[in-house]
Amino acid sequence: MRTLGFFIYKELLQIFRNRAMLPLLFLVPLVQLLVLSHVATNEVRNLKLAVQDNDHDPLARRLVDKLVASGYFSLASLSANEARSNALLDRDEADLVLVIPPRFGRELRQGKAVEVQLLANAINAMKAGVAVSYAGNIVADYQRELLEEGRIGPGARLAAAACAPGLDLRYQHWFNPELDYKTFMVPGILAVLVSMLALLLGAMNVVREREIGTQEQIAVTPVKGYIYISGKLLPFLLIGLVELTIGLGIAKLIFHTPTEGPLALLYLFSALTIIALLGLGLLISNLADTQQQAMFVAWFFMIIFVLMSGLFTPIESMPLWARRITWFNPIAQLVAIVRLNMLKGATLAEVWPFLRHLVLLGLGYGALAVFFFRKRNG
Amino acid sequence: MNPTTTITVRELTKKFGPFTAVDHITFDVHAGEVFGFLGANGAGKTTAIRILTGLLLPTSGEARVAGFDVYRQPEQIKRHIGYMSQKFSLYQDLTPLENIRFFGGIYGLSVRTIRRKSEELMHRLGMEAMADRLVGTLPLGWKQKLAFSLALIHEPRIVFLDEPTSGVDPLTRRTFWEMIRTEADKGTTMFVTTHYMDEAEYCDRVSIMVHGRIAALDTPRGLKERFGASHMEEVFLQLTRGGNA
Repeated sequence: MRTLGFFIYKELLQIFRNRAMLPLLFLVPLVQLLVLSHVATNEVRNLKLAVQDNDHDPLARRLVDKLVASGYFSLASLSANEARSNALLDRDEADLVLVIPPRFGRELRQGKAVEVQLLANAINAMKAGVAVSYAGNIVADYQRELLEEGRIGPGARLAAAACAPGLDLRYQHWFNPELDYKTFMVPGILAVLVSMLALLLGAMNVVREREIGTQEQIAVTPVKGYIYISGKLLPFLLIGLVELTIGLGIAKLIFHTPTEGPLALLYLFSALTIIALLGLGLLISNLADTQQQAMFVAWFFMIIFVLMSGLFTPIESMPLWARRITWFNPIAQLVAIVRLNMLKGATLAEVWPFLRHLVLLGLGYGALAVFFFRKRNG
Repeated sequence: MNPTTTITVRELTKKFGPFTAVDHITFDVHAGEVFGFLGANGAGKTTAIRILTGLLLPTSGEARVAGFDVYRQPEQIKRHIGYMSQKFSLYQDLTPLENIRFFGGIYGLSVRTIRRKSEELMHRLGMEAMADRLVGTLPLGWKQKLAFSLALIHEPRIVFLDEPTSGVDPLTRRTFWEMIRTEADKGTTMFVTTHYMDEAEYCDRVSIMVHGRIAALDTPRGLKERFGASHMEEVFLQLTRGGNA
């Protein structure tokens, strides 16, 4: 253990002495965070709404106002002309058409069930899904509001029927009017960025020592392989967590992300992910002969891990073999947990399988790194 | 084993596939001896050193270093040997003191011992003024002296020096060999490889490897007499040419 202390001290000395790397180490993930958190959001704003109002009742007008007032929709057209609204959809000048049936207001007041139709432009399936689910929720909200105000008959029901070919309505649950998407995605993205950096740093580190020759010098000392690997892992884990903290601080200032409760979970999972990826990085580093080789291999894993993490495309919609591959991807676990937390505030029981999985991955990659260090250095 | 024998090698062989890098070599090295381990490039010197330092397992044969078996006790061997490679292998982005602290620490020296050794070493090398400079900025000669001293920091019984003087100016080489001699006189075994034949003259005994075998092993004077040479370089050339023929 004492030996480990000397390794950690030495490693930190080297990291903080590197005047060129240090600022990069801290700046890169923060700049990426600032850019990506605006891009990698599923929140869609300024959806172009065309309303085909066949009733012209005040209740119908109020629904349109409510949609526009939500901030998600801007009114592209308002008419009673079906051909016109379909044409807008065809020309991509509307993302969503809301069809209000004749006698909309009267039937609601009579306490009947009324259905409005939502026609989505499904060329961009994700956008269409989001548009439909936003509108659907606002319609449901509207019904509740009207009932509370006693403006409509007690048995009245207002529903939205979505109509968009090939539309995947699973997106519906992403709509969460009380919780801003960014407040949850920002910490998640940050955790992904920081752990990716860990993979790169780990991959470059051991092979660098081999190139310089210090690796050989350490190999002839009685230092055990696992001490050496831990001595590499822990300083970078520390750096990763410090980066995460700085990033979260900045996220709080800029995006006003909350800092209670789920954050402890985020730290735990980030730490585990960083350990797993550092283990993989060190494994790569032990197998590579040059920093260049290590860099390319780490790059390969980085791309695969990020693109197959579920951050951009849902893992459930991947083919089976691809889903099997994601088993080895710590980032996929991290993204899953962040998302779980985002949707419903996960309980320990729900978190447990992911926790176990990440610990397994960390132990696996770490053990392989130690094994190949020993194999290579006697 | 003779009590003064620190390295015993019997019929040691290492094969890499069909290629035999080390071919049944046998020799002893004694405590306090400066043992020159010579050979042309690719003669198998590095492989032999890697086996003796516990980095590589032999294919067959026996070897004991500091009394420990290379097959079963590489960890104990590593405790009792020092190593200095031809590739300068201290941390260039640390100061001499930080390097001493690190290597002393991983050999298990106490903080107090490390501090005492640091002062001693800086004083002996006359490096006090450079104690806080990064090693990377020091002249090569100083780096080599520092690396040599670090190989000795845990007071090993045997020090392996793999071409320690390559690229160093003649004056530094001279002082370097004086340092080697001083340590040997204290009882430490010095196992040295070199390309400079004039340096072979500093050794107590010299072995010359040719194609994985030990072609000759004797004192420099004995070798020169046997080959009727006035200079070690002639001995070396005769042997390696003979080996090629």
